[in-house]
Amino acid sequence: MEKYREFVSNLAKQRIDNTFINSDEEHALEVFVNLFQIANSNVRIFAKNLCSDVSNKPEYVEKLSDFIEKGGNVDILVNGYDKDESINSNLFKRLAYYKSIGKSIVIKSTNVKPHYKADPEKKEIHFTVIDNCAYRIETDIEKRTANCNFNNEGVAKGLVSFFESTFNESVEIDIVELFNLGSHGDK
Amino acid sequence: MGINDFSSLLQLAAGLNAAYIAVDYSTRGYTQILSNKLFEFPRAIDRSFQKCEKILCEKETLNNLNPLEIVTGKSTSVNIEEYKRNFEILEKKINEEKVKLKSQIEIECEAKHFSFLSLCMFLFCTTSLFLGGLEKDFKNLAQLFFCMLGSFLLIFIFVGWTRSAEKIKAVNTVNYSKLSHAIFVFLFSFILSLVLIFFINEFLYDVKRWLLLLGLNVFYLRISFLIFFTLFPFVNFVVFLLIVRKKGVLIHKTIVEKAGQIEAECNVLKLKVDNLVSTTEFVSGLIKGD
Repeated sequence: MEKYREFVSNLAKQRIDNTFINSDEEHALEVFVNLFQIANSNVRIFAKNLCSDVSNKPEYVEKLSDFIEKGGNVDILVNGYDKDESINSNLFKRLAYYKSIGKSIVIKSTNVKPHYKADPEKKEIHFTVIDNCAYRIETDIEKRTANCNFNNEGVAKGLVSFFESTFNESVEIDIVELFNLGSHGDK
Repeated sequence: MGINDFSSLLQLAAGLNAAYIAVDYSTRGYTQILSNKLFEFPRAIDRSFQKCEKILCEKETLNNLNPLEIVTGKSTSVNIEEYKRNFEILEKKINEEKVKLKSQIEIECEAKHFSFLSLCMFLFCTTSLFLGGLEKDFKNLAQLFFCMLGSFLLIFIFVGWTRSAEKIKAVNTVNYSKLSHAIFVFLFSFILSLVLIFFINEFLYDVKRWLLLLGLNVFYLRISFLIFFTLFPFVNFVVFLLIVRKKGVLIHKTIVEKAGQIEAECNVLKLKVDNLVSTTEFVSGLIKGD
């Protein structure tokens, strides 16, 4: 695993245009951590509900927090929003905190189930895209198999375009209200 | 008493120095062993931050603390998340500081010229063993050469002890990071000693007379020099031990300062968490069940 970490870190730091595939949660986490580390301005996430083990791992939450504190924008689309699960999610709690203090975070809910155009089975995919250049596309959402690349503008821009069009038509989830952060404790 | 009487000691010194030439040139072995195993500087760094790391365990309390809407209509959720984030930042800071300090220790305690000095000592020891063989027939010359060679090498060795390799390189033509220069230094000292002993030997009787006039016992003087230069090859190890220890003491002050700063931040955060827990307990105590 240590060698895999070095491999992914090297690709990320040097922004190498190399598509690699990974699966399982441990490898997925490593890719997410590096994606958030290299992000400059935008992180766009299309997921089911972001209440999975991976997105609630401390490393995932910490790296995303680092990005938000750097002044980055986080836009999230979920197509399987579950209020009860979200209340217990560490990631949602953290995002709600940052939203309540004015950081640029928007979470919206949609019914759209994205898939590859050329896929006859129309298998659902989820993805995370960083700025306009890096991405992780989960092609098998059960096995967590994904295609990843830290520097492919062509594919990344396509994802951004799809994300933005769906995002604009979706309904925002008020996570501040969800955690009752409208009026917060003494500071 | 002569050089030959100390041949076992010289053989041991030759072996030790030869071993550390190879090891130290590739891995900076001796000074690393002193730093890591004898003085345990990396462990001292870990120990300095132990108090901070214990305080960071309070994060678990926050993970299990349920947010409350207290009577004035305010929630503690924001505080909980804020403090969790502060814990993460502190943890990261501690890890970064530990890595930085350990790296600093490694650089400070590194002695690129140790293998140079070891090679000089090794060559001196092997020459001395050879002189021990000649001592039977050429006692005065052999012992004089032994002391003369040791004296010239002592000058170069002393410069090596008192300066870092980088500073020496800048000032002199001798590069203490290169083993080839150690050989040149030895050859220079060897030739100079050879030339001088023949000159001194011509006037040896007069030299002894002058020493006697000065009130110096020639016999004891000779023995003192022999013993000194026999132990000379071991002194290198002792001097570097003292150099590394001195550097460690200086870095220790930095470690204590950094650990103290972070510990203060950890204590402030702990106080906030304790207040939050107390508030939660107090408010929980006000709520009655059905």
